[in-house]
Amino acid sequence: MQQYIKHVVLFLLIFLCSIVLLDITLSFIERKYSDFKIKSDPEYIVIGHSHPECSFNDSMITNLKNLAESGESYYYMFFKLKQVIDQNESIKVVFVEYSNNQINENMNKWIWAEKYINFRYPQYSSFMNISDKLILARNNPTGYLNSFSLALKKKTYSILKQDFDYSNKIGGYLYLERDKTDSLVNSITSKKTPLNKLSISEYNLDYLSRILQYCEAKRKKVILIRSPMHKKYSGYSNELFYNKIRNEKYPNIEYLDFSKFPLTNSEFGDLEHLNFKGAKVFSKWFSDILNNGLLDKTDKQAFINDEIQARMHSNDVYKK
Amino acid sequence: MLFNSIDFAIFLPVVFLLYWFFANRNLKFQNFIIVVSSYVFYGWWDWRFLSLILFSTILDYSIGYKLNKENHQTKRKILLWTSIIMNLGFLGFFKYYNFFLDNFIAAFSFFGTEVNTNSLNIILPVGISFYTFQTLSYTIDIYKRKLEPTKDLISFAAFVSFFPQLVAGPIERATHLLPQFYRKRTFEYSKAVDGMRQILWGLFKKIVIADNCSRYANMIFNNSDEYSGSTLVLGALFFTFQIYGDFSGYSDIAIGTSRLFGFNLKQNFAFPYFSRDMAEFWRRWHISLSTWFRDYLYIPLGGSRGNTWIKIRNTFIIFIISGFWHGANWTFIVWGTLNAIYFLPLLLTNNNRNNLKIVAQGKSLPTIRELSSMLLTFGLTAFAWIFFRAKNIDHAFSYISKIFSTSLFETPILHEEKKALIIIILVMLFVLTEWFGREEQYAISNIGYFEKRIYRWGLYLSICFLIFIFQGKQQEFIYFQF
Repeated sequence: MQQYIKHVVLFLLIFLCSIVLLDITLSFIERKYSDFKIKSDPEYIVIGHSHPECSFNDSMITNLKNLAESGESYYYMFFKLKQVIDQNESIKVVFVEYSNNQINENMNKWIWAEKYINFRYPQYSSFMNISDKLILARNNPTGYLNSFSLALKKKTYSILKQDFDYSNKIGGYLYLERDKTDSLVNSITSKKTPLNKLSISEYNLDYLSRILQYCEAKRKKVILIRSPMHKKYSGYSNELFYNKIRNEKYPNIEYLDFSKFPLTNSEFGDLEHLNFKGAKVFSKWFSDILNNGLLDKTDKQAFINDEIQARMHSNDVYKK
Repeated sequence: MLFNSIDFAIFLPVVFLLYWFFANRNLKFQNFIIVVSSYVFYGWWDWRFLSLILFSTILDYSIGYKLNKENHQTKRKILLWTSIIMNLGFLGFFKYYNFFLDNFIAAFSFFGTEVNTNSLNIILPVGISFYTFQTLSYTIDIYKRKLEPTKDLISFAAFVSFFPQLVAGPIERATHLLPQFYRKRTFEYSKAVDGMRQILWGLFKKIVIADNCSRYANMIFNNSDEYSGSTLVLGALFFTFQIYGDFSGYSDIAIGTSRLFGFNLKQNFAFPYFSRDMAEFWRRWHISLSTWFRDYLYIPLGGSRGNTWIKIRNTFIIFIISGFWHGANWTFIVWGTLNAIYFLPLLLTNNNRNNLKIVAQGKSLPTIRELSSMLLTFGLTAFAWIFFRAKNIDHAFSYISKIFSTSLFETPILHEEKKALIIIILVMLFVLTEWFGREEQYAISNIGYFEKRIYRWGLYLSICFLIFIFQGKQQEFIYFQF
């Protein structure tokens, strides 16, 4: 009996060590050769989830690269950003989306739910350390095991095919065609969630803190932003809580709020995403204020608000 | 609790250590550990249905006890029928209530009468079809005086709820499994190693073959309108391997786990896809169910004795009931009927027992004739599985009619072709391993014959790597729903 248990344990140890060793080796190779170099040598980058992904048409904004990606939590963003900053000296300013839904507990799903972990973990596992991985393993052990095997396969294929180019796999502007805002607005039943009932994703916010710290450590200017959203967007219901967290956790980080940027319903894809028409309008405007020295202003938000007001007064369409 | 889950990976070693270290000296304690762990295993899924198992256990234990004492034939019959009606009553209610209700309503509306009844939202208790048949075998065998009833309720409860085979078989006979609970088990190194090896192979079948094939089988069956005939053929083949990997994989894990605890369960699958005719296939596929139906239904009905019409009637009865056992859907009934049609010519021409030995025994390769017989049988089986997998009869017929269209000759098109190709290569590797291990109880049993540990462990490690690297998305075992 003892011999049997000894043999089983020994076999399992050999198997586990082989897997870990294989993972370490493949991760080392991938880290060594991974290429996050952005060809356009941008000065500004935008990271975040689908809101900035659909808002910043980087083909219209000089020196800016949109690296936002749908469904990406701060957790995975952190690993991506580290590599991007390390391999792109040209970057001076990092715009980080800080939107109402990014504080919610729901963001935990974006970190370890099967749909997300199976896609994101293989992409960034080579750049994670053990404590990062433990978060996934603790919260979704089955999903982690599955994504671990997917990551091994992905790394093996990358190495065999010598495909280490990440620059085209780390997000970008999303051209959204849909236009269903009118129907969504008509179907809204507004219900505000009381402040004391909101629960937040500590994990996601912890990684936002790490993103901010890393940027500061690398002497990159980091600015929190909120992309344009429709005034009927239900995510505003946690506004008080949202501002409270920002003021408490990130009091020294600059914050630019574009959420009230005036757009018509037809320029939204839905209540939280701009479609290509809205992105065109917003990106053109953003490019202009960036070129007009937005980042040199002492009170940037006041400058933005003035620009927004001026825009609203210049066009009656937005006064509705 | 699924065999391929982390929960089970923790549960099994804990029960194993409790069983062999704390309960090793006492038979009753060993059986008690089995009962408790089995109830935990089953309750993990839904503890409410433990009451059904408990009720079935107490009912059949009491009836078995009384049956043995009773000599009056009418009273014995009443006792037997009480057991049958109660057990099948539960099965019928949970599994077939909505089916009969829906068909009842459809039949009335066909004759122009609208009947308003509400179907119930009934959850099917996992494994009810399996443990019901197992407990029935106990009372029937006592009635036939083939078995002495047990006085030990714990042993009987362990027999009914034995966790390795509780939810998806093999359906063990009381005459075979129950006496094993009367004897204290002692640990045997070789038996435990063999058990682990069979578990490993079962996991490979389930995780690598079944779960990966299911992805493409589901994709093709769920969107069959969009695919060409040739792709639909591929879909049927994916399902053919999925169901085999899934169910025989479960059986391997169940048998292997039982061996870890010192029990021997009967072989449930004997390489059925290498069968040379349908009669041989049914001697090799889900053996525990086929033999159950043979012994408790087919033979009491007269079996293959009697005139031609009796033979035809009995064959259809057994296959249709077997189909219906799988689920409350007309697709299963048609699947059973189709298999009866396959089987009948062999029975009527007395060719149903031509192929009793394993194909190409002692040889590496089959003859051309054997190969063509195997391919034909495999094709017929895969064709019948279309009914088994389809959502309903209409879906099955539209699937088949599209196969037999001109698009059959188009090149099959699949999403993620490279992944599909890898799965096809894995399936081919699997078929080859099964072929070379077909004279054993399970395909990789012969790894144990290697003298040097480094070879044995090297092969085990390779299988573990394949399981780890090529694991498909975790799926429930298909037979849980039966």
